Amino acid sequence: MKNIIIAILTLLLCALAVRADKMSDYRAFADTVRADVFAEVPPGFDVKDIPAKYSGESAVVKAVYENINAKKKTGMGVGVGIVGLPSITRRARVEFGHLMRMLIHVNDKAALEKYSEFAFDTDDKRTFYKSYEKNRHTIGVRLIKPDGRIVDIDTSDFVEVEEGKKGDEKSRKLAVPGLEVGDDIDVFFFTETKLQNIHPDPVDFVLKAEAPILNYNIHCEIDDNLTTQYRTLNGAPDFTVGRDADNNYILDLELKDIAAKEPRLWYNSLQQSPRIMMRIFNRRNSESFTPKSAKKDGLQQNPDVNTMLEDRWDIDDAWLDKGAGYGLYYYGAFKDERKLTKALNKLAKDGTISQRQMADYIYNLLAYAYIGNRYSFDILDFAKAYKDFTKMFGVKMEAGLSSCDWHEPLDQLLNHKHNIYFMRLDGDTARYYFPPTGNPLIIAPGEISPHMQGREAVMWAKKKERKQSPLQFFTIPVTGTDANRNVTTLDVTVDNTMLGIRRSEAYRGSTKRSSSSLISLEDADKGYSSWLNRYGLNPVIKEKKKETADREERYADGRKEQVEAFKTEIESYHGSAPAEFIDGRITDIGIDPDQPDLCYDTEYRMDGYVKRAGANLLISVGKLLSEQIELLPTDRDRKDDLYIGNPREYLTVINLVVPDGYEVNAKSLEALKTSVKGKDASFDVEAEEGSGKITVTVVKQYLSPTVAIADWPEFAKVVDAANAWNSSVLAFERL
Amino acid sequence: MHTMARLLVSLGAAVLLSLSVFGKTPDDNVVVSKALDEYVFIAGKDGAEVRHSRKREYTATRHSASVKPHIFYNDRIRLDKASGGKMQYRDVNSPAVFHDDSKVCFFSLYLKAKDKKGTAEFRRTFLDAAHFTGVFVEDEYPVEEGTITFRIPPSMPDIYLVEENFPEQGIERSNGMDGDGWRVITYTISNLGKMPDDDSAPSALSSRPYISVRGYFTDIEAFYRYHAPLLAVDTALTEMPVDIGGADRPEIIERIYSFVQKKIRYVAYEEGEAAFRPDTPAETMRKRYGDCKSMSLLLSTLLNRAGIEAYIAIVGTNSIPWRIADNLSLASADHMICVVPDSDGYLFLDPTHVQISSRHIPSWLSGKDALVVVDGGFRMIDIPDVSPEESADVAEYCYVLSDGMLAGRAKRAATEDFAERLASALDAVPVQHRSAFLAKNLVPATRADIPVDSVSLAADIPGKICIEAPIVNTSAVIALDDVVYLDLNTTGDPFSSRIDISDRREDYKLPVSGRVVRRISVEIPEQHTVILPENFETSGPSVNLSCMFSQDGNTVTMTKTMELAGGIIALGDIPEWNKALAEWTDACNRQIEIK
Repeated sequence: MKNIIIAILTLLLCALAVRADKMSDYRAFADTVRADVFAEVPPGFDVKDIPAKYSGESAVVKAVYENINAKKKTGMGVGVGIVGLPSITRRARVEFGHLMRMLIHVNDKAALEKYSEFAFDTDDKRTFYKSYEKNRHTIGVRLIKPDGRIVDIDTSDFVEVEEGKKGDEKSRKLAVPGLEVGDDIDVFFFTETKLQNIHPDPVDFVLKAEAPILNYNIHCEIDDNLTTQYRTLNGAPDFTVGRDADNNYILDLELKDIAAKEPRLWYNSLQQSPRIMMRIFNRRNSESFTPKSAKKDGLQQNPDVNTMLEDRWDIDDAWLDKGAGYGLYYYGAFKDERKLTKALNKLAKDGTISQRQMADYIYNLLAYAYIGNRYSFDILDFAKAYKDFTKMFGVKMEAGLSSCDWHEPLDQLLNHKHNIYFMRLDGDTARYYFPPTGNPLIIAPGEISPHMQGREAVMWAKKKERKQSPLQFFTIPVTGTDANRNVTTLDVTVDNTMLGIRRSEAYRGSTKRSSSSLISLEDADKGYSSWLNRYGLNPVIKEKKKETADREERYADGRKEQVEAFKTEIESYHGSAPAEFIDGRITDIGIDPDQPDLCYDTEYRMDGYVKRAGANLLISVGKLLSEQIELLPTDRDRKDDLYIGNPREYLTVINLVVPDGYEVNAKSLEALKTSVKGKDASFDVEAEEGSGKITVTVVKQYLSPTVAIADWPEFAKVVDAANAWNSSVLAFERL
Repeated sequence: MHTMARLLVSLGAAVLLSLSVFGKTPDDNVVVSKALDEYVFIAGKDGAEVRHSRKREYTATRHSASVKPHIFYNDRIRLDKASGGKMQYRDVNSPAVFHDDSKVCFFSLYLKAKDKKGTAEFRRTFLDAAHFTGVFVEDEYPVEEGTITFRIPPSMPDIYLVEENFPEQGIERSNGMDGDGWRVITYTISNLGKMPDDDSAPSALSSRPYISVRGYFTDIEAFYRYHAPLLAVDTALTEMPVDIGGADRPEIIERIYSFVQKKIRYVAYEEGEAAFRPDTPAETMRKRYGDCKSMSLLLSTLLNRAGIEAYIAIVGTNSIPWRIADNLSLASADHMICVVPDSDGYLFLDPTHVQISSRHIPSWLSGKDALVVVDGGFRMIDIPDVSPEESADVAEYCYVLSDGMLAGRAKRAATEDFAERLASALDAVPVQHRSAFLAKNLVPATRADIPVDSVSLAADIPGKICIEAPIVNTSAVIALDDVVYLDLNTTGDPFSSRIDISDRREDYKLPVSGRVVRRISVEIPEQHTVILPENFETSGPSVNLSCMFSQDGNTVTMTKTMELAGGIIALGDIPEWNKALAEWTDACNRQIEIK
């Protein structure tokens, strides 16, 4: 027994010693990095003065310095030899360091709060069979006081946080001591990464921020035995490239006075802010996927897009050519798959429905399987299944590739994961079947999500054909206002000082985005089931009795949540909560390709919109138009083009019943009429009286996917007109 | 400030869902079908400890569900055992706290169909019984049946239990004694609703069923002695950062108070002993931040250095339903302030708030008591429930009617608690958006234009903040054929929103007390006939509302006033509140006619 106790104590002491070693090792690492980083004065970090034009900024970034260091390493390990015996094998390793250092002038309390607290994990480790990724993170902070005094923040000011059962998951927090408005904060974040058989994460340099940047410097030192690919996007300047004595690639970039900040409105940072995407590979890696384009050491500056596309084709040629082997039975989503397959085959063979109708039907069938929560959604899986199913039922489809607007355009592709497959009927260049991407989740077959409209694309061709001639890029169509329209109809009655409102909404195309969250699981299930009940088919989701009961109980929860969602929608529409919510229901989930409108009705009462003026009434009719964007002074001072996405139209028809015993004042009716037209947007209001009611028709249009900054003043006039109309009043005089 | 929040987390009462009716509602899916909690007081090596064991059986009553059984622990509550699934152990800082030692142990439990059950079991030990201050009876799910048992040894005769906010049915207490003379107190629970999570509701301690554990501190002396060693920190300070030259006593107090309010950031840090021990004033000065304890100690130290008698004081804010003297428990105090004897009374200085003057008693302290730490001892004092300085939000618009619009000046002056709200909001706004933010706070309605670069802000006077700007209001004038209507109502007044009662099961807590006044005067051209709407006055629960119209020569004035008494609006009174507000809004919306 005594021996056991001694053994346990010895083990415990060893464990404590190892733990203490790890802690002291980390502290030594953090102290060394801190000393090394602060020993340097990178370009721009000696800036003392801030240009007067930035005196009104909350924070000014005096300098940013990013440093990437990547070294190829080779390790050894024990693997399985040719006859099953242990053998020594090679491990592809990379040592990777990423430093981000910033010197920020803190000009107000908002900036003080923003830059006064930091939290980070000290280390993390992931290990797999022959692979690992070990990260160590540290930060360093020092303050430069207005009198030039430098205050180093000691690591003793960091708070150690332990998580996990034994407290072995470490992180650190820092509330920066001594930081005051008027100080400069010099802060760096450094991550040291050791990788075995794993490639480094992609790096994205974004050369614009929410504060002005006076100096931005990037320095990369990358082993020439690694593969480095980078792409400059949105007007980002290129690196200057050199080699050092060890043949490492040296990439440098210096930018000065990045004044323009990312605007609050109509701006897509990923498509507009200058950025450089970079990927680094160790091609010797045997465990992780290495794209074909990366299988040669060296630097690839803005690599040829066809080469990068081959990375994607290389992965997908097989299923694009021969199919992924999906069948309805394999898919297992529906009851009586064989019967359903047979019926669909019959439809395909006897020509009862057209190729397009079959393509539409299969699209919704597949979407039903996913959206009914039967599978976790994956856009690549959807594309593969869609291709297989359409082929199975005789639909001639061709596959193409594009990218969403949160990734680089396809003709500037760098990352083979940044793309999305679509299908189109052979020779039909007007209709594209994209997998639903989530916003909105539910779309009609052939509807093109706003994130894909106007994006570059290519159609897939067999390898042999690709070799003969490069693929031709084309642009996914940008649909017009007809395809991206929101029609709002309000029937309004006056009840003392309340307005009774019945509002119907129909959203199509890109306008669906804001409303799709109202659709409950029950609406989606019933909508798909109802639409798919055609051509003599009636697909039913396969589920056990218990699952059916479970789903129906969930419907009850969904209905309750939907009431709250409708209340939120009403508050968002008018800018104030309803006095009374009466009803709200989805009438069409918008999956019929011939009538793709997402429709719902809602009924409620609003107060505060009827004002007594002696014997007369004033109605705040402007509040019956959805809340319009109000431009702030900082929005008006704009330097960037506007990213609208795609043209769209908002049509609002207000039918206001003239209250008994009153007549409308003609002057106030006339005053509602407005027309502001520009090249890229318009706002029109017509108003008329007839059949005991006032009908006001409001049309707001965005006519272009983008607006040049030169046209911003004209565009802003339209926005202002719409906003001003929100306070319009209609007078009714007592008879 | 957040010690109480931390205690609540420790007691496992945080982050729970809605509804408060007793018993399960039709919407509830998961219930706790069996709940067993046992708290055993024992004599530990360093004093009294409490061992807590918890068992829960969860049942899905309508459909499959995932639940996350969990228990909280920290440096003073040791987690001894957790079973039922694959446990995870995480930090759970409250968002308002930079760092504390609260941790949660939890696991995922999937109830795969209706009527499926799953169980969880936890054991933990309160290493210092002083921190075992009470138990919330409700769970995050409705409890069908359960017991909470307390076992108290004969050696702890002073410990006793007090029931707070118990419903008329659903919880029964029974008292017993075992063979060893231990008191065994059991609460039997049947069909108890779940703990709600509603920010607008009164605090959980004020409204939810709670078993208050009392008697650990037998008298106020013992309560003081517990805190005293933790408050004994070095107050040496080499610098006097505030220029007090030439100032009289009130001015010195204001200057020093203002320095700590504005130059020291409030950062809550509550790990272990640090939850009770302030930083030294020198350390707080170095860091330029501190929690309520550190800021109060720095403030009192600086005042002492300036020759002014000042002390730190332990207080409970109004989220706690008891005064310290009425319940000698750590649960009765969650904050620290600085108290300054002044004339025949005291000043109650809370430096964690930026824009409150020394003469104002903030609403979160009024009516409470304070344990003032004086040299080598303590003094209990009452905090008056009426502040000498009122909180008000007064906006005045002085217009001239001309060319179919109103033009003039707008001025909004907020004092004390209202000033604090405005100042805190302003601090969070980046300087480049500040003028727009201020203009927005002056605009009475849309289409009222305020030139952003002409907005002035005055926030130098403690307890006051004032915004002023020229204004042109184009939406207030409606000219018909032979009459002009003036709409003088302002919109967006604070606290004037209706309270949604459609699914509400909780009382409503008004966040502030004070007066909101909007006075709009218009000078109209001569020789016009003016018809004023009738004056209006009404009262609702905790509120008086009025809208008065008057004419003085060519100037017409509308004054709308909301007097908020603060406190709680009972659930049943909320319709009356909504009705009073709706009538007031209608009355204020009536137009002035000019012919």
